[in-house]
Amino acid sequence: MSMLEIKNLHASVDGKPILKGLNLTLNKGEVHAIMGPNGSGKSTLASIIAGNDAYEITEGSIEFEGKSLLDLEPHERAAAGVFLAFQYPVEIPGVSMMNFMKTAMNEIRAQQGLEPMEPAAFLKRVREKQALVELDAKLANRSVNQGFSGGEKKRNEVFQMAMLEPKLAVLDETDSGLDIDALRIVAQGVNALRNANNAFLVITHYQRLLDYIVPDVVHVLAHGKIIKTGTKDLALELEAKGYDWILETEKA
Amino acid sequence: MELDRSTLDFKGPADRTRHWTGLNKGRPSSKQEEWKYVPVDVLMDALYPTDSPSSDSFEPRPEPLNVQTGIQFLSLEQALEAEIPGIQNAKESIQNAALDGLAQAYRPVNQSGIRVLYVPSNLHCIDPITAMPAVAQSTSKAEALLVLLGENAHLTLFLPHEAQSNRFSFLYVGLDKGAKLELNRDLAAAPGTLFMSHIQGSVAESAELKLVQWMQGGQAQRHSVQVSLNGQQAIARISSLQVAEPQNQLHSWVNMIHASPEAESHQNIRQLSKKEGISSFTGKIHVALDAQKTQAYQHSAAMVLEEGGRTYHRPVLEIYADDVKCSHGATTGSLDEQALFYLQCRGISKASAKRLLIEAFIEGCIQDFYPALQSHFRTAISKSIQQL
Repeated sequence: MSMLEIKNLHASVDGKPILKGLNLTLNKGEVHAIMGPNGSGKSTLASIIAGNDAYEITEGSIEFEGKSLLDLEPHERAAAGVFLAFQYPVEIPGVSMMNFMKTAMNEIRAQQGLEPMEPAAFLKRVREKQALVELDAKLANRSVNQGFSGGEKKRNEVFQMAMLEPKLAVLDETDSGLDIDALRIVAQGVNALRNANNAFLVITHYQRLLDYIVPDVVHVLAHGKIIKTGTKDLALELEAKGYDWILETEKA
Repeated sequence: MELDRSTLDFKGPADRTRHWTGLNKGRPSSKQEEWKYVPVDVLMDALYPTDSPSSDSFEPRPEPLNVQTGIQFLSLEQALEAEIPGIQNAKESIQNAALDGLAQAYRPVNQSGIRVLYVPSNLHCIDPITAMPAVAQSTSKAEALLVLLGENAHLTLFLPHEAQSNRFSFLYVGLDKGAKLELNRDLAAAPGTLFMSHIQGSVAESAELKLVQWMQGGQAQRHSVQVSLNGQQAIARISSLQVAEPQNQLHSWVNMIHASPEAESHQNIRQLSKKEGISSFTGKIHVALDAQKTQAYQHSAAMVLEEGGRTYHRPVLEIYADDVKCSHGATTGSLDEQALFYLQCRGISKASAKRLLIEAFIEGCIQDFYPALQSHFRTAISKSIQQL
């Protein structure tokens, strides 16, 4: 059974179709990269997987471990093991990082029928995961993403992912706005979490990220559907030739 | 040249200043700035019925709890006899303009209902004391509590659950040089209750008044505060947290008068309104001509939690001095949908996410309360937003 199976997905926002028959299959232990030009629907796909109700699903299905994801609320999807690393992490003044993470972990545990995590175990885990992404420990005492630099916000996303240990992580342009060092640290965190039981869907514009997070499969998304699938070499080819090449090939 | 404001003859548009300065003694009207959003007729008819006979059966406030040695709790007569410092000013304040534009004819303060709480000079009260509300009140008389602190006296005062029935209460605060008063008010009114109050404050040199109030419940509440900073380095801090339940109206009015140079004031207001709940804040900063180096700040933020809820802010800055730092800010919004989605994506249910965001919104105000009271108000807000 596939971990994620998207079939003929059609979605629109304010009546405007964005996804027009997207198909995608992701198995345990795999890393898939989705590349594509601006406006092709990459972030829409990420949002829909996470459960953003701003988008209307007009046709198709998304199954996660054999169950329909579309029937679940966003927090239920998170408890099932789906994680979205935001392209633009939201600043939430007044909600401290620690309170946020503790609430998140304990609510997920409650949905899974588990007891809340012991404070000492929670703190230990926070320290471990902060070290993994080299996140300044002081940031844990600040409000969620408030006053964080662009790089800190992205590292914070990977820190949260490390804390929650999802089965499927969708990284929505996590490389955007990162310098080389930050990119390396973020990728290092992702690679450390990668194992045979989870899967990653990495959305990016650039091949650069894929030098650090090596994908098993690369898809090109354009005009609301996957138009080409290949290996890591496809990303290199796109980098060299641009998207026009593939769009013209598709047209022909 | 010093202006005697009481002799000024206001004409034309400036005539509205009469209302701010308390020169107008008529029945309040929604056309007046300080009563703009208030259901004046509902409040006035209930609180000041013209056909109600005046009653002499008036029960004043009982003895406060936890009164320490040295603190005096007196009737007005006793306080006058003892020549408590500042008592004459306090008495005149009640008799004259103090009732925030209310006509004395509508609501005379019952002389026998006045109680005086006096903290002598240099007495530092470490433990907070609780001033219990009057047990019962006739519908035609107001009660009054006069809190007077001598030089360098310190006091923390709780005023819990003021309204279990319709009422008007008056509080005078007089702080002598270097005195510090922290006043925590729990203005939680019983359902259907109409509740109004007025605080008149006078803060001397280097003295500090901190007023924190929680407003919730009742049919309608309207609370006004007028503080005059009368000496250099005088400080006033006002925090108000207003939680308008469905069909509930909460209105607060503040007039911060900087009468002396180098004084400082802060107003920090948070408003929440649920379905059909209305909340308003009208706050004025008045800086007199010679009040140079004034620092005055006002911030009001509102969150409309459900459709049909309404909030209003009305900041007014009237500045005559030219070397001052004054600012005001007002924001109104609803729960941030993006923040809600972000929290949900981390496994937090929508209800918990809303609770987190609302608690974060009001936390800046909650932290102004005396530490021992903070958990009480956090619990109250959690209970209030449970059904959202």
